[in-house]
Amino acid sequence: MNYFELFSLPVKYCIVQSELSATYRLLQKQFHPDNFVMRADAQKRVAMQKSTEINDAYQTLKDNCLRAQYILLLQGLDIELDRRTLQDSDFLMQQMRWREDIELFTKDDEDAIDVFSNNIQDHIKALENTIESQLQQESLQATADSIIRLKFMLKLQTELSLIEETLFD
Amino acid sequence: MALLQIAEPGSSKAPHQHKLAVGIDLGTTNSLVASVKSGQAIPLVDTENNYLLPSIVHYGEMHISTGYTAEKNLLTDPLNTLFSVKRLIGKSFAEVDRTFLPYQLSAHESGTVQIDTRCGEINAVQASSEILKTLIKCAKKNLQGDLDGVVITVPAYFDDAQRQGTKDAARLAGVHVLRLINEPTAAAIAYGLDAAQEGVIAVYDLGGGTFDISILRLHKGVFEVLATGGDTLLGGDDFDVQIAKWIKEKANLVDPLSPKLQQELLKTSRKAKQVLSDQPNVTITLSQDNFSIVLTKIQFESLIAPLVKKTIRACKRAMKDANVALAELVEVVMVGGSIRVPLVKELVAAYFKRELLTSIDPDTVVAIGAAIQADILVGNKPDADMLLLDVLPLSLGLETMGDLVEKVIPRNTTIPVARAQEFTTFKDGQTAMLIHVVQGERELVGDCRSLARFVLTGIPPMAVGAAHIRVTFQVDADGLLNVSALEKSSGVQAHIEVKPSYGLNDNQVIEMLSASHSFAKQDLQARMLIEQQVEVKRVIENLTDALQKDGLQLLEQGEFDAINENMAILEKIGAGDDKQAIKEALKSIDKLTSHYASLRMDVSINKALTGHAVTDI
Repeated sequence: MNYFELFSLPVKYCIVQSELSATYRLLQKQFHPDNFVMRADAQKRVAMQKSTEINDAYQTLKDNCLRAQYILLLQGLDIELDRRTLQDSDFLMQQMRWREDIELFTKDDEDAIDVFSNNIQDHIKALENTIESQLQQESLQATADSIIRLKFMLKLQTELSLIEETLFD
Repeated sequence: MALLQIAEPGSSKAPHQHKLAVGIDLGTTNSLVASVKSGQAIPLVDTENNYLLPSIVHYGEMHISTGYTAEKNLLTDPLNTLFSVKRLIGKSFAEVDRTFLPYQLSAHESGTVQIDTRCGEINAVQASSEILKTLIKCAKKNLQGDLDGVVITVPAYFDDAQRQGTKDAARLAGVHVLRLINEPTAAAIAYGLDAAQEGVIAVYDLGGGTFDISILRLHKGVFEVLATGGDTLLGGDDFDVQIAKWIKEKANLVDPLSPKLQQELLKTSRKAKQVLSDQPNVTITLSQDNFSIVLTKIQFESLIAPLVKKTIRACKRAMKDANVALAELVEVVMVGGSIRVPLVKELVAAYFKRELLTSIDPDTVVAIGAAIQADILVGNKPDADMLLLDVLPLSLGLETMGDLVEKVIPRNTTIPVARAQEFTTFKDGQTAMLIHVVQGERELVGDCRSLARFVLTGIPPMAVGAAHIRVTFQVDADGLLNVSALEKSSGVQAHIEVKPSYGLNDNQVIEMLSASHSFAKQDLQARMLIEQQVEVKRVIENLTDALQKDGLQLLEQGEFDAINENMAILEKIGAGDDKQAIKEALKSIDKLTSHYASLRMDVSINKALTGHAVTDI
């Protein structure tokens, strides 16, 4: 049973988050180990495995980047295994510049950080839209490249929030 | 046997006998036990009508005492009167801050901290089990019967070693743990069910020794923890220590202080803190040299402000991790005895910009929530539509080259969760490998908590890099970690030897069990046999039932017959008293039926999702 089947969903990038979480709650209400504490040990184990799988599926399906990556995996393209590198020097240069920018932020740059953060968020949104249409056109290799770009952006976002944490806490 | 009994959606389960279950709040300063009686969760009282049991254990000349009886010995016998042992659970000797700790600590050969008493070396697990024994005795008396199970609460921010230590203490006390649940989550149950609350809530829990902040989404009976944070070494005790340090300085007391004087300073400081909750100042006196001094509320607040601010920083981080804005919160619930300090309430209200909810007694709310959950888990409320979804509080990682940590499971991931990681050999013919698991957020191994070192042995010898060892980290619903490993190309199950860094290993627990007064060795053997026979009975009942329902639909005739045959064998062996044979028979039927079990699970998932419009979930 793949994650989409587990949640009774067609294999599609487009997803309604509220429906996804409703199905998630319904599944966990039935299969969570809490329902099996008075059962035989082996039953407890199977319930834990199923509940684990439901959690994993939910984490994958609700996240735009992971969901896209999973769709590619179902089509036989494993990004992790591929260890593919991006042949886009402009994009990589831009990443390096951004990374240098965030290193230089100080406590007085609160406004600048906001602008920067919004800019990153816009790039993320744009990439997600690209991924959606690339998946529709079934251009798998192009989607894979976009996913890697998206991963770069998400990593940058995490780093920015870590820097914010150290500056303002 | 791996079959699941799943009620058909919409159909109710069979009627059953009422079971006895309790919730236990095993606190740093006070502990208590609660249970659902006539539909109402209430704290259970002892013969003197007290529901709070001070978490103090006295190892006396003649016998061990706990609670108020033990408390009387704090000043007269400080070396043998153990308090705040919760702070020592799952800790190494080197990690423990020994300022103002009147009793004597030493290190077990494993590095685990222990206390030297007149009854020999006592570890925190043993001392905690004494407190649990007292609470269980009180519960049995109240409920008039043996307990079918208990839920024990732990700080949400407890790491793996601390959780395992708590479970070991329960095992020593001889009770069946249904589940370890997090203290703030328990408080949320007590509040949430009370008001049929919906929306996102924050639970701020400042106890005697620990601090937790949890952000939860409540939706139609589901309590989903979005993020949690905290500090397992920050609580009311630390406020006392701040005052004690201040007095020490003002009274020109020089180290080393006698154990008795340390205890007097702590006791006086605690009293002063309590007075300052509603007075502008307090006069502090010491028996030594007729010393006397006034401490104002303002001075006290400046002493503890850095600590309280630390809790606010943790709140900010948790809100960020939960991805929730302040305006989205519908409630901020305050839990724990230390929220009585006015500065705490003031700063928390200022940060969350709202009034705080304290309507349930902050000392009992956690035990009450645990009692409600215990009642449901044990099966007394088959129609209860409640579910807890908790998270892993601290990231789990592995040591890699250069003392760096590679994160395997990030913090705030919903449990149960499993992640696999692949390793390969770095030498020709290598057959063993050492894996070091750590818990924490920092990048360097030395800055994280060392949980365990796993030695993988039995890797088939191959050329360098040819072996692919898949190590799976499984965190169960109690938040406890299990590790398994498999060499992929050969399918060989690599053997894992677990060495908990600062906990007790299985042999130590069994040793303690057999050494404890509550079970003679024979009792233990007899108990293990009975447990196995109960398991055989469960397996046969569940399996017969399942086979009748859908055995022939899901299985080939051959498989069906094989299972029936094995079941008959199991029944025969289960009637005897050969523990090893029963164990093997259970194992073999488990293996034989695991495919059938997952088939049934998939069928029931399809059933669960059809006939339900998502809108009525």
